[in-house]
Amino acid sequence: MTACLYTRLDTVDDAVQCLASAGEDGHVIAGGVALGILMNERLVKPVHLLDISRIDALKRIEVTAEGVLSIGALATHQEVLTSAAVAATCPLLIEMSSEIACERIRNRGTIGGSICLGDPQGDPPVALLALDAVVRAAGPQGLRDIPIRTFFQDVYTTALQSDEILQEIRIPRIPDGGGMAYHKFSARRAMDYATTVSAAVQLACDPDDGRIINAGLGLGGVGVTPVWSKAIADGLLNATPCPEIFAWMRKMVHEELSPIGDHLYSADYKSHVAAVILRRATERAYNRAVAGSDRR
Amino acid sequence: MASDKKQPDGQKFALESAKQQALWQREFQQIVADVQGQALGPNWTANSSPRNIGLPLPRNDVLYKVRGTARYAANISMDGMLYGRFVRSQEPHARILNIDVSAATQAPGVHAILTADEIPQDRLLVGTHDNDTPILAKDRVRYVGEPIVAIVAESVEQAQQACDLVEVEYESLPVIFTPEEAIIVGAYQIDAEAEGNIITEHRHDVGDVDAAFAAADIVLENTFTTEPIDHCFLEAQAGLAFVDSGGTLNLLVSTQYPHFHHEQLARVTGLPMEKIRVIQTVVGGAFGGKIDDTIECASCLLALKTSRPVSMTLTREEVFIATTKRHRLKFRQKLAATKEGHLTALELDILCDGGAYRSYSRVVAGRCVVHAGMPYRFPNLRVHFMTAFTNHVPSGSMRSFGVVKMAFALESHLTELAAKIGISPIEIRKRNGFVDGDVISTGQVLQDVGLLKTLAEIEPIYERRKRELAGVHGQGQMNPGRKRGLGVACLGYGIGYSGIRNPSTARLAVSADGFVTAFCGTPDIGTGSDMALTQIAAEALDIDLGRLRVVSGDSTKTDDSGPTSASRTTYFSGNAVCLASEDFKRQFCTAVAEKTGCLPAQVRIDNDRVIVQNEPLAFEQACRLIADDVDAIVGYGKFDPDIEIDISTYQGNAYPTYTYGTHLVEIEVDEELGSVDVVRYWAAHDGGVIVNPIGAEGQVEGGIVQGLGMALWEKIVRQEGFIVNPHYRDYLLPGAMDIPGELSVWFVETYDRTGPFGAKGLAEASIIPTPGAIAGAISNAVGVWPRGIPMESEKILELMGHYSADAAKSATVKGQPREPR
Repeated sequence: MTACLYTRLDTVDDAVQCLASAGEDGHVIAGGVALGILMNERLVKPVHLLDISRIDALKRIEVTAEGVLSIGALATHQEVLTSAAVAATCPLLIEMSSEIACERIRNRGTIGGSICLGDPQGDPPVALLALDAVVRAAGPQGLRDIPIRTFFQDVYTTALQSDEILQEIRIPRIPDGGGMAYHKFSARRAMDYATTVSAAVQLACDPDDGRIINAGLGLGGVGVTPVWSKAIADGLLNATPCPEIFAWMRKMVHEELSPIGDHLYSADYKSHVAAVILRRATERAYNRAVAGSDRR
Repeated sequence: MASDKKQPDGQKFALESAKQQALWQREFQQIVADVQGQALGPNWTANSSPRNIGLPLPRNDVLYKVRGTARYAANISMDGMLYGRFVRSQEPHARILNIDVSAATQAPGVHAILTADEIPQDRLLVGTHDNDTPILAKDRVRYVGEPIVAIVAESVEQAQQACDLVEVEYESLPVIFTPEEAIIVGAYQIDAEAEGNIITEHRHDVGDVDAAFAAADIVLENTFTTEPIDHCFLEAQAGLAFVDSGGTLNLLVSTQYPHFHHEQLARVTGLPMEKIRVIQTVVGGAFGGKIDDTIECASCLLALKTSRPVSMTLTREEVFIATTKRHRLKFRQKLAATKEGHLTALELDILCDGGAYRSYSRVVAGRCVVHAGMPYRFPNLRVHFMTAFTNHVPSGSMRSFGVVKMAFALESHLTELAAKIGISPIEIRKRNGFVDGDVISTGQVLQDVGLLKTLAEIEPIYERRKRELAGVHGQGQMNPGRKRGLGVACLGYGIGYSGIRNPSTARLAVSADGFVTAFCGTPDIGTGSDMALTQIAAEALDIDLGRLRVVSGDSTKTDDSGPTSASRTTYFSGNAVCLASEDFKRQFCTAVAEKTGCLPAQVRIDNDRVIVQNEPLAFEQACRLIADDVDAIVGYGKFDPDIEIDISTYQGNAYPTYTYGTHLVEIEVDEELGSVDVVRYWAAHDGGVIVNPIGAEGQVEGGIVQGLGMALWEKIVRQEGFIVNPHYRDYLLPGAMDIPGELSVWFVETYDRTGPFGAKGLAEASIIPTPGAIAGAISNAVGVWPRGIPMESEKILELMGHYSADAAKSATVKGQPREPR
């Protein structure tokens, strides 16, 4: 194992500065869940590791005055899962976080790390796409907001520049009467990662006629990046769940997605699974929305 | 020079210090006393006879294992120890043109580099049954992952870094990845001795199969396939080799068979047998995968070369790519029956991928041939079994030696037959299952057969759940799109090697302070066999369990009794312990008689006391009495049943006894996705009299879970000779969450008249029915028959016709969805 330079940073400013001076050699490490594996397998050989895991300012989870849920990049999956602020504003993230690996890994892995990795099979990106989150990056020029729907660009490639650090994830206020659901398919129930397909749906419906008036969705494990489909989301507007809409969604899933076949499942089967679980997530989200509006 | 850390015998280097060991032993003795005091278990009371057999004792190794203090081979370190790593082939089949180690020689920390050139040709090849596998590849590599160079350095990292600097120049040779290609006339001959690339070929023909098929009311015929799988023991192969101050080469190693390594090392190193000692360390699982040479010879040669202790531990990736796998096989099975559901004929044509070297391929083949059709009466039987060389990692032994794969096919057909003639899957097995007096295909007459008892145990549960599920499905109480199904499968499995003598021995010695040590040839590989042997010895000697200690797994302290495999240990070594006990008691009583001036017949051991002319003495008192002669007392027992099969006719006694069982599984299929959840599982076993119910139950549960992984998920996937999923993240092993919520195990307890206190073997065979039972349950739930394992969701969905690549795309509705009403 080759030696590498290691710097521990205490503030975001220090981290940004250090990253700028390290240049292409710099590798940011937080929980180390993904990077640790890559380094163990010597797929990544960092020259300079920048440890941001002690920056307390990046661990906050709070709801701002405007109702935006702000999650610091270093919040662990377990912290998201158990956060009262998240539970009150965005139960989808609770449902999603509970599907991430096991508690030991949730205690290490951070939501920011998961997004920066850009893993097409990661759970948080899928949910955040459905929620239309905004990613706030800190760089030498200051802060920059990036809509998550443009964040995932290619295989393990995101819109984050090499001199930027992910600071927080901002989730806009969910309108009343909304419902959301996360659904994940895996071969086993035990902490599966190998081949998972996941779908997140967030929607709101008209309390009077039940039409869907707002829809967001995300899909994982069905392409080179986590996927957001404007076409499918738009197609749901003004509809109510019915066999026809689901048949249409199924067709769209097959048209829009390009899953990669692997040693376990064919690409076609993954598309099939994606269509089924997207429908199930939509039904569940809709039922929750309806139940929510009934309560009002 | 290596410091030879003194370790008390028999603790398998399990704990670091003698002090820790003494603490642990005291603690364990307290547990024994507590359990005996509480009289746990349905078959045991304080006054019961036998006193120790059937006692639900926790195993004596669990305390240090669950606390994390057990020392596995990789945890043991010595002063001056070096670490070894291998350079492995990156080619599936190639000539080695050149090996350049010059850069590695200069790498930091490197002490020695070993290549095949340094090993004389007559010492280079090793193997359990055939010496055909080079310790390090010479001139040619036959599979990706084959070791070529071994390097030792001061740290694992340095050794690995040096390995990365070795440059091997290859010239590619024709590759063969399937046995079908291997047996084509003119195919490249992978092994110099094996014409036509055939490792082993067997034919077994009983009765008139053709006539039976012609006369049959019902014939079922299908082709079945299985994928290679890994043993997935948690502890990778690991060992530590060193030369002690007396000049003896010591190898501490995680293995199923220390004597095998001992013998091989004598040949490979040229050292005399008495200058070698192989000690088994605590084994973190084996399942047939720690029975070949991996790190043993290389680490010893390097320890001799450097005069330093050498530690080698495989990485998980190496375990996947470079150690033996379960055979991949493809076979055609044809079964004939009458319309009343009586089986009349079975025909099997099996082709196996044996990989690049022989390993246990012949053993697997032999066992499968004898087990064809088991545990059912087939008056007519024809088996053709062939295993061929390929350029894959060698296939070897794994739990049940292939019988689980045959059972998958046979049990599928049995259940299908039952459905065709309209009887229950239990009933078809009752009509055809072995009973006392049945004659198997080798001509052997069976006795003490508990198969129908296990079926009787399962039948009421099957009938109840069938009724309940019919209600649930009928009343629409199931979630839409989900279907439950029940599946049944049986097992019959021979104990010990197939058709050859395979004796086991035991020695019993006693100390003046009243402790008895049983030296047993077959080691404990994590199954709890030492505990079972302790109980058997205590029972046979009629002394307290607390006095007994089993020493196994030390090649210098025990006779070669074969490996712990093939369900042998409880039955073979247990019987050897019983025989040794008789010898021991005779010598012991004679010694006491001489001291007390009476006749040996007037002395006997009874309930931990020694009765001398009706005067009871405490056992340790008697031992003190004969303190001067105590070392001379060595009870010896050799159990060597008359097992022999004529391989030309396949006639004879295949095994001394057989274990049986019936499994029932309830599964739930997601009809849209094809995925299977295992909801409930029931297993009834005839393992003879159960020596230790806690251990037995744990072993059966483990077999079921291992079978479940094999049935639903596990497979080694290869592309051009490279394994693409050599990690636990993409090799799907069942986890705790995948284990059925209800998992119940029963023992029907047949008294085996040839077993130690009526016991048979048990643990290994519990994997056998699982895939077949699950296949039956899938068919019961959704009406399709998977013919290959693993039975993956995509395949099930395809069979259901709910999904196919084309249908998935075409199932569309034109245009935009309609507006809501």
